[in-house]
Amino acid sequence: MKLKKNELNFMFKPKKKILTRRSFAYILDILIVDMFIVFPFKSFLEDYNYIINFNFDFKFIVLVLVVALLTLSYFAVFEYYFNQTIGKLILGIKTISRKGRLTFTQALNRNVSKISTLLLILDCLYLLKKTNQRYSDKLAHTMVVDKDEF
Amino acid sequence: MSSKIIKMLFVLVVFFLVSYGLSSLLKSEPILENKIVMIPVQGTIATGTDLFNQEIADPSLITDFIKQANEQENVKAIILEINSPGGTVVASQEIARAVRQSKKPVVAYIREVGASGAYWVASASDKIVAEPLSITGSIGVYSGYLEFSGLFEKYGVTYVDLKSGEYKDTGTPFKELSSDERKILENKLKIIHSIFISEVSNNRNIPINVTKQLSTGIYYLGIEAKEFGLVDYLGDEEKAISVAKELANITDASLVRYKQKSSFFDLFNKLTMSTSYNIGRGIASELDFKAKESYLSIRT
Repeated sequence: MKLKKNELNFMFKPKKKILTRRSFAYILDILIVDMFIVFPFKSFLEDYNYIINFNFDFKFIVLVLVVALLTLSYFAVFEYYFNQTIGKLILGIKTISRKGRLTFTQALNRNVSKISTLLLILDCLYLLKKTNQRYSDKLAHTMVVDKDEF
Repeated sequence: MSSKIIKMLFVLVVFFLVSYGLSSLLKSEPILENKIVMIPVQGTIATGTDLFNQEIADPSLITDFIKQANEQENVKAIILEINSPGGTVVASQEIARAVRQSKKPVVAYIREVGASGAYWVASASDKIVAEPLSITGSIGVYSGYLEFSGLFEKYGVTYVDLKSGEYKDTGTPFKELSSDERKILENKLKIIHSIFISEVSNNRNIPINVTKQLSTGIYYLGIEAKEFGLVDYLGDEEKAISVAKELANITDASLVRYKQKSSFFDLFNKLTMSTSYNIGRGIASELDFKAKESYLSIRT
């Protein structure tokens, strides 16, 4: 069946509000990312804790990009394979696709804003619409729901 | 459910191993092995913050930088980039102490000004490199304050003096300094001056009588200071780096400049304070007042 424009084949509307759980899940995930992904790079990042190099520091840029990509991968890989990160597992919520099974591209797209705090804050403003979605969720056709509700 | 958790933990361990592997790869990168750290000593050496957001060389920050540099294995030498007219005695001594206690070689690089307390700090380094026309020396102690007793007298204002202890109000700006009080204060300055001279003499291996002759408080240009043995080399930043490499016995190193990280709120705070201050200055200049220069500058 061909979809009409803006029409999805999955009309689930969650009833439970999960903003608080979602927030705590994110905090837990950030702590986990800090311990398991950022920590091995700690000595390098400490070196740069106090510095501003007048010259373009390519090594530092590479380091930051590597850490950012690994962080993004954590969220994307866990949501693709398990529909939830460890934080979401603990708080009893999960990510679903509004168009069938969650794809890796969807998992990646919905988490891109997490590499930048400013982007994430702007992304989260969409949650004020009470749709269980950040703006990137809307673009990726995903949403976060209670694990028992769906 | 439990098999899901096990799989998730397995993936987490894989992430950890990947991060660890990548960080090990970076560690083996030879360019990251040797570093020379440049620590700024900019502005007046004093503790606390300046109301008008003028630059201050905070001893807590600088000693922290030196400590950090000493703790990092791949830091081989430290360069203090000095551009300071001096500052308070205790703050200068704190930094000088940290420099002396550094396990890594320290080179002081005097750019434009490295006088008084800043020279005290520089003298504690292993070597000093100064720009030929920099201002240095000024090995002396100064204290002063505005005294308003004449002004009060003119306007019929009386200073009421209630105290316990004869010299408790010594140095108050509301009364004239007596000759006894002047002697007391000058004596304290002499004590500080003699400690300053003694430290420079020890640090620079200059005989004490020679150091005393150089310590009239006059400043010297870099070229003059080199003749007197107050600095070791004349040169620029490249020279300082070269001396640091020599002291550390290395041929190659990357330069890392330490600077305090500013949060968004620090930047916002500085911007508003600076804006308010500059508006005030603008208004004051319109009213024909001149702002006082914070230190002597020589212009061509």
